[in-house]
Amino acid sequence: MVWIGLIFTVIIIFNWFEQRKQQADLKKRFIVLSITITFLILSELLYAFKDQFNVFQMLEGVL
Amino acid sequence: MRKITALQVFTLYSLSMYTTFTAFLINPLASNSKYSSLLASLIGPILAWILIYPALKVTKAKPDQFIIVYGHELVGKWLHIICMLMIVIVNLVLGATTLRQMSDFLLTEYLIGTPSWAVLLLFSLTVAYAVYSGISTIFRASQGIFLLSALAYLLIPIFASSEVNAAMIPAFFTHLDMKHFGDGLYLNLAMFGEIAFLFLLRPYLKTPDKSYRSLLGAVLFAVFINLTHLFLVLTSFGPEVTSNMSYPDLELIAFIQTGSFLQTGDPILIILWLTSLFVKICFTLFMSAIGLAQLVKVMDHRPFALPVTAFTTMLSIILVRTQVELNELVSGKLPGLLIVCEIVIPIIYWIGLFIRNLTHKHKEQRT
Repeated sequence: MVWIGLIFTVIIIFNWFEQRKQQADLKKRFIVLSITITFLILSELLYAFKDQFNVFQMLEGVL
Repeated sequence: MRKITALQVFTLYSLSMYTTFTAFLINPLASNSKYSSLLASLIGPILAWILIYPALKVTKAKPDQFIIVYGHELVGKWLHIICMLMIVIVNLVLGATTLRQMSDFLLTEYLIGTPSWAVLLLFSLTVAYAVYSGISTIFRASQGIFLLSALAYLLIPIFASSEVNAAMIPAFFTHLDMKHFGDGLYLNLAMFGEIAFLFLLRPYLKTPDKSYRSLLGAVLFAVFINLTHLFLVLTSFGPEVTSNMSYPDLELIAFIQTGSFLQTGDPILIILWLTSLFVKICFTLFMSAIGLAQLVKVMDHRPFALPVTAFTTMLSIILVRTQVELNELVSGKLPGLLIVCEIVIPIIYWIGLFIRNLTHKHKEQRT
């Protein structure tokens, strides 16, 4: 879980500075940031509950 | 903007279709479809090519724009967002599944004892770099690998032909079963239907109308390779033994004695699978990244390349718990979800376009 957090932190920092270098407006930078954080939260949640719940089981339930 | 040639479309799709089929689809096909799998693998891909016609028609309405950008005009804002989110999610799951299949294959056959995170991290770094670089890099990579890969795939059946059990050939005609045929058709339709996603990227295509024909070429070429490999595997091992093998094509190639210099041909196949799966995973993740970017109106896919790749890599680890679950996912639930996104969603947009054209005509007649 720590490693997932670390990887996403590196990605967030890289993307933020890369977009700043390309002079992207602040709104777009925050959109990218919020989506990356959503992925981070999803990753952490899925990893934390991987023994009780996974994508296969979710599809079993939905379809 | 228009960078992708019809030849590049042909190479990427044929490469990804015959590699995925020979690497991971022969086993579920032999298990579900038995002797009917040969017929299903002939008709399924052609049917998939016909069924993606609505996707082509819809994107023809505004050839210079991405459907993700103007799709809300056809089906309404909320339905459009739901459909496009489904396509993004399905591409993420498809990428994660392929990545999991590839890492499982490497860890059980080639890099035994290596931690899975190390394999996934190294592979994902290259995938992230390719996705970040953009669509032309991915298509160029497929073009570069194609010739060697296709040549090897065409030569393998010639070397393995001595393993054929000719007494089994009549069973392909006498043991045809409608239920088995339907199961095989379902798997083939889902896998070959992936060509529908290309039309989400229509503005990137140099000659979009020619691309539909080059897709047919890719389908036919892949079908030829798939059928020769499937025929050889089924006649050599039979459907029962094949369904108990993890990688039947690899087992078949392990029988080929190439000479004293290289004892068997399986290391060559491992290289071919790795490079081709790399291209497929890159393309799938690129679709997710650009879909997401256009949905949130950022337009540039690059800021999403790294988070999408990281999430997919993590998803591939926790997607399923066992190989049995993975097999069930690949041959049961995932194809259904894929068919919805590849065939049903374009049909919904097509109906939307038809209704819009009708109302436009009505308005013009009134004025």
